[in-house]
Amino acid sequence: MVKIENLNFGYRKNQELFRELNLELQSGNIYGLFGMNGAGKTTLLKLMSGLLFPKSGECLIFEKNVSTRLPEIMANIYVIPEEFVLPPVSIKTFVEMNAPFYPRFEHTMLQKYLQEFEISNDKKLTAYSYGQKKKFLIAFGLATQTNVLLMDEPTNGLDIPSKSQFRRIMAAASTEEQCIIISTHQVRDLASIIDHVIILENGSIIFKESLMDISTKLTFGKVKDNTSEGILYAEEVLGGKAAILKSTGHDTAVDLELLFNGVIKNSEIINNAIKS
Amino acid sequence: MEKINQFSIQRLFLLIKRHSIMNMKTWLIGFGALSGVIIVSALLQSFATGNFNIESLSATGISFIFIAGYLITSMAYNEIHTPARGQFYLILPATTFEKLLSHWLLTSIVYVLVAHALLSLVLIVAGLLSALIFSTSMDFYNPFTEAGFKNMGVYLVTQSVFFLGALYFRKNNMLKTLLSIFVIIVALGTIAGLFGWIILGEFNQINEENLPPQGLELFTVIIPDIAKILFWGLTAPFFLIVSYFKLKEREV
Repeated sequence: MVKIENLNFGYRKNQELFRELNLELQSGNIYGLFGMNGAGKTTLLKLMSGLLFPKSGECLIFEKNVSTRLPEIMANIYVIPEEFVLPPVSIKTFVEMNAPFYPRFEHTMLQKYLQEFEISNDKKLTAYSYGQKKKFLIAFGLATQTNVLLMDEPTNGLDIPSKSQFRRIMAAASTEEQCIIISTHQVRDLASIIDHVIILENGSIIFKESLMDISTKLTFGKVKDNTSEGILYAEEVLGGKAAILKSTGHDTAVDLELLFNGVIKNSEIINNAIKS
Repeated sequence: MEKINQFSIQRLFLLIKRHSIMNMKTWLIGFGALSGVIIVSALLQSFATGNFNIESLSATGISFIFIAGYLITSMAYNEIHTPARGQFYLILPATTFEKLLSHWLLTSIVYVLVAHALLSLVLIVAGLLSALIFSTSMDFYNPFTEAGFKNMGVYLVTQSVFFLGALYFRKNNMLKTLLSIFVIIVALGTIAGLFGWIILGEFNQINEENLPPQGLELFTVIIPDIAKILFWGLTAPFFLIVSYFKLKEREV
C-alpha cells in the first residue's frame, strides 16, 4: 500500500537525511515508527503525505506518487501532526469545512470518538487545550476513514486517562483496509496497539519487524549478569538487568523500550537473531 | 478513480466556502471600517460645503476598493506560510488548479463585484444621512458605467501581481510586492531610458519634425498598442500561471 523507493532527501544540499531509503508497508497493520530526536521520523511522515518532496526517488501510495498531491491520493491520506494550529471555528464548522473532501467520512464515527474522548461540541477549537485539540484531530482523522493514517506523536499532550482512551479507540478503529503509521518517542504508550516496529536512525531504517516475529524470536526478561547465555542486549534496571535474549521457547511480552535501546545500541545483533 | 482528479465544481465551491469561513471576520471588520470612513467623510464634506459630492466620494471609495483588494489578495495564502496551519491546506484532497482558482475568484471577481455593490450601498446610506441631517440633494453611484468597468478591469489585472506576491513571500507580502513592483519599474525605466538615449540621443524631442513617419508611428501607435496588449492580455495570465506552479511546488 505504501512504498518508498530509493528515496533521497535533505533539507540542505550537502546534508542528506535519507539516502536511497526503501520501505514497504501493508494494509491491515499499525506500524510504530520509533527513533531518537532528529532521526527523521517527522520528515518521513511529511514525505509520505506529500508535504515534502524527495530530491529523488518516490513515495507511492496505491502505486501513485504522493508528490503529485492528486485528490485521488490525498483523499486516502490523513495526517495528525505533532504541531498544529487549528482555525478559530467550532467543531461543527471545522467538520463542515473539511469533511466533504473525504468521500468516506463518517459523522457518526466522529461523534462516537468525541464522546469517548469526552470532547464537548460547544466551543471554538481555539478555546480547547492542546490535548483536547489533539484528541479532536485524532477523532477527525479516524472518521475520515482514509487508507493511510499518519500520526506524529499522537499521545504527546494527552493525560493518562486520554492515553488509555486513545489505545482503546485505536484498537477498535483500525481496519484491514487501513495502514496506520504512528511515530513516537513514547514507546510504552503504544506497546499494546502496534503490530509492527520500525526503527529509524540517522535517516536509515535499521529495524523493521512484526511484533509476532519479535516475540517468537526474542525473549525479554531479567538476568543477573551479562554472562548469561544468549544475551543480545542488557541494561541496568532496578534489581538486576533487563535483557533481550535469543528465544528460549517461552512467549514473553515485548518490551518495546528495551528493544528500542537494544536496536539503537547494536541493530545487527538483534536483526541477525530475528532472521536466524 | 481517475475521475476524482479532474476539475470538480463541487470541490471548488467547498474551497470557496472554506476560505470564506476562515476569513469572514477579517473581511467584515475591514468593510465595516472603510464604510465608516466613507460615511464620516461624506457627512463632514456635506457639513463643510453644503453639498453631497458623489464623484469625490466614489473616487475615494474606489481607491479603498483597490487598496483593500490588494491587502486581501496579499493575505490570501497566509495559511500556507505557517507550517502548523498550512499542512492541513496542503493535504486537502483538491487539485492545485481548484485551490488556486478558489482563492483567485474570491479575491478578484467576487471581491470586485461585492466591493462595488457595498460601495453603492454605503454611498446610498451616506447620501440619505447627509440629506436628512444637512438637507443636501440625493445622488446615486452607479458602478456599471464604462469608467467603472475599466476600473474593475484594472483591478483584476493588477491584483494578479499581488496574488503571486501572496504565494511567493512568506511575511509582509503586500509591502514586499509593492517594493518588487517599484524595483522592477525603476529597472525597466532605466533600461528603456538607456536604450532611448543610445538610439535617439541625437533628438531632443520625439515629434513629427525630428522623426521619420515610421519612427513616429512606432512611438505613438505601435509601442502603446503593444503595451496595451501586454497589460490587458498577458499580465494576469502570466502571474496566475507562475502562481499555479508556485502553489504546486509548495512544501510545508
